Amino acid sequence: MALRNIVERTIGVFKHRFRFFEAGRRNLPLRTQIEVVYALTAVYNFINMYNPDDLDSFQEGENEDIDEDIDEEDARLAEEGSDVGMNQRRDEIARLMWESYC
Amino acid sequence: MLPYRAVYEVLPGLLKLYKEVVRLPKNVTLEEIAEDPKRYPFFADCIGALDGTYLPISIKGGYTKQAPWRGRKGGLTQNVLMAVDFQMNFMYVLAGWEGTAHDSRVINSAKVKGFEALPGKYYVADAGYSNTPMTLTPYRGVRYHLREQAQVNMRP
Repeated sequence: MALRNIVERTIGVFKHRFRFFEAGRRNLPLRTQIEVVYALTAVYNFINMYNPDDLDSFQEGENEDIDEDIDEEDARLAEEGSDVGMNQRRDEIARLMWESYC
Repeated sequence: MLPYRAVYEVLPGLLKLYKEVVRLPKNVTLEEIAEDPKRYPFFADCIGALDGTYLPISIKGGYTKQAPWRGRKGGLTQNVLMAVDFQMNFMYVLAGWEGTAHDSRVINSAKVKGFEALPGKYYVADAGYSNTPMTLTPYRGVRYHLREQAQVNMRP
């Protein structure tokens, strides 16, 4: 499993656990709707710390975020903003991984 | 219908809780990485993973006001940046950007608001983000998982 998948899984669990809020947000002011996102991430972390089993109802297949669907424009902007030094560091990590694999 | 009064009653408390439990990581190599020979030492400096996601939002005021929030997956959404550790805890969240905002814009805004990694440490992110000292991203258009690469006799 890629290291990166952890964030997609976490977001999937979070959305699933708090899916009730889809219906509940409608009449709240914008600012409150945004604050509720922060509040729910706090509740999520709290559950994950004290009783992670309560997050378990989530099924892998329900995770809409697992796809590799990256917006073309996002990817283009991302490449433009990349850092030469970090590109070298990435090459070095890839080289080390390849050598240890061979 | 949700009892909105209850929302307003618990919200201030939960926002205080947020400050206690959603925190940026300390400067250590995570156990989940240190104990995995496939990840260590290559990702010794990785402190988490981040991604943007769309959460639904309700916007009043007609089409003109709604347009910036109409994300590429349809519906009115906000683009939310989320960073997590390897115990699946949130470490950083930035909510409230319009659904049409690009991931790079959201993360730049987060950096201004104090989202950071200690020097030399980074988060892993997908190709929607730039490969920068703070965010390590995959090569674009390259096969992942080394076994696939070996099959086609290709170096990463």
